[in-house]
Amino acid sequence: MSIHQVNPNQAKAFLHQLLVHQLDASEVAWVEEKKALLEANYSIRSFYMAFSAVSRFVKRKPVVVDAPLAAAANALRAGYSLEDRTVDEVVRALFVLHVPTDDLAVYEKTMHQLFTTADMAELAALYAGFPLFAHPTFLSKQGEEGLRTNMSGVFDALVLNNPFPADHFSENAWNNMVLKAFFTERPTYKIQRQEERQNATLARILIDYAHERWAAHRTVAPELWRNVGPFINETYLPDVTRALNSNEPISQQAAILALTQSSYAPAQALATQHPLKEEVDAGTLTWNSIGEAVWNTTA
Amino acid sequence: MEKMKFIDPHIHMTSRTTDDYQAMAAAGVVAIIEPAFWLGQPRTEVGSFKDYYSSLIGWERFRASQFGIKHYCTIGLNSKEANNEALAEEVMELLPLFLCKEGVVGVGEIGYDDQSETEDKYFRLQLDLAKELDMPVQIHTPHRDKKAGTSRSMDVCEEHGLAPSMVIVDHNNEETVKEVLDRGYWAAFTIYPGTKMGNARMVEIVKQYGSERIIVNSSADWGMSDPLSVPKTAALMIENGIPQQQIEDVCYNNALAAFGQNGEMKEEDWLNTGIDQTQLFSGNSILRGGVDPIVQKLSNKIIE
Repeated sequence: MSIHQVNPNQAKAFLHQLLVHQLDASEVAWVEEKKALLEANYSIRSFYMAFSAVSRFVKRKPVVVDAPLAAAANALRAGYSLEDRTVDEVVRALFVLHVPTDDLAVYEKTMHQLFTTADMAELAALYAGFPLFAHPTFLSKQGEEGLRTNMSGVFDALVLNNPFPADHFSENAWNNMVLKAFFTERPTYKIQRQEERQNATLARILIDYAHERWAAHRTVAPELWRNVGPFINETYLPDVTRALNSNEPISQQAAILALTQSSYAPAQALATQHPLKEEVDAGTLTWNSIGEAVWNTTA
Repeated sequence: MEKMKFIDPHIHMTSRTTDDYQAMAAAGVVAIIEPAFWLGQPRTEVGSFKDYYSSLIGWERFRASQFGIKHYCTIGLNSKEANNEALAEEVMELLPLFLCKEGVVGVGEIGYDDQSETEDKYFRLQLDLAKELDMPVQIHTPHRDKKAGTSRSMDVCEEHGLAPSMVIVDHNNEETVKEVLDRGYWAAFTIYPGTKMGNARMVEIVKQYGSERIIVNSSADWGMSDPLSVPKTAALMIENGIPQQQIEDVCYNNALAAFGQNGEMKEEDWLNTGIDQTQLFSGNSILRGGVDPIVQKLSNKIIE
């Protein structure tokens, strides 16, 4: 495997351009001064100082994502997204791209110290930058550690709108991630490429989780059925049917969508006779529409 | 009566419970500063310091935010543990990595304990760091030989070129306050039952010296202490007829003015924010499964 996920010079140029357009002149001047310093005379100390000091020199505000920017980000690295990210995180990612990558031991040591001394905003910046950084095998290990965080902003940076987990996480880490996202009530529809990583173990874990919720008289997140759909069998069908018969319209929608994703004949039969099936066929009822409906009504 | 807001600029939340956070929020505490200190027994490895500093800028801050309280910290090597010279050297290498972090409002708490030569060495080195980074300094004055130790702390600050306006001298009492104020420093008082100040004495101090550059804090930690010291002292001041403006100065405004000097602590950080416990991680965080999250706008309670 290549040590790079993205050509580092292209990544630097992309982030730099973004910052030139979205920061104040004085902020751009500060970033460029530090960038020049790291290019001409890199040292660990100057890198750490620049990385830490970002919050003092760059005001936190959201990255403004328009269609051309979104397309350029995706062209740089499939799935790379600046949705919900902030400009200071982009500056930090740009600085990390200046850490030398040739010597893996030095790279790991530098990054390890960075992770273990980082504050919340820095951790979020690091995990959001994962799709652009070098040594994905090392990052993947660090990412599994990141999944253990209790800080939702940090978890979100790694898990939501981020192509890194789908590309690099082991099945076990992936399954832990999805379950924890439900457990901690994150908007799971923002997890990328779930269909590619679906597996029978995850479906079984989520079914168990649904049973646990029902036993405690709690609701089950409609998005949960997404990763169950292709694995519906005679054991799981009663659970999906229960969601279908709930009086929550969103749960019904999610159940129908899951049923249509199953090749199990009784599941298909159940979907076919349901009025919502038309919306699935028309493409208006999708996991995205369900996610947006769930998260916009509870916001 | 008008609702009052409080800042407790010296409290060690790492040692406190969620009950304390709830009580503090209910009493009107909107922001706190947690100085780096020792944990009751000396640490033996530099990694313990690294994780401690990390928790001050990470987990503890997040935990406070769940109760609607804005958490800041000061970072430094405390005087007691500075006496382990080999360890102190390693900790000094860590400090530049942490002092520039978001929400770090000063170097602290540093100063003297036994007033040993080693303590003096690391106090001075940290004053130089504060000067270089233009950060306020939070000074812990010694329990023993306090009066001389307080004077010496200020002498050394001046030797290293720090402006008195950038230095908060903490744990004052009736014996030290006059000199600290006369020399232009901020004078902080710790309302800590038994060993430091009681709040009745604090009322007398404000009656005598007014409110300029005087700050009240709790220093609540792992010992017998009270995280509601600041609001309780304010309540006692109200009862004793201290003017409202002076109470607001010593329990809120002065702490903001003193620790806001490097721009990391701003009133807008906590005005118009509320508690949002839906951000909690219900599986393994402070809110356990089965508890309904409360999502409410922060409403300050009147202290009667």
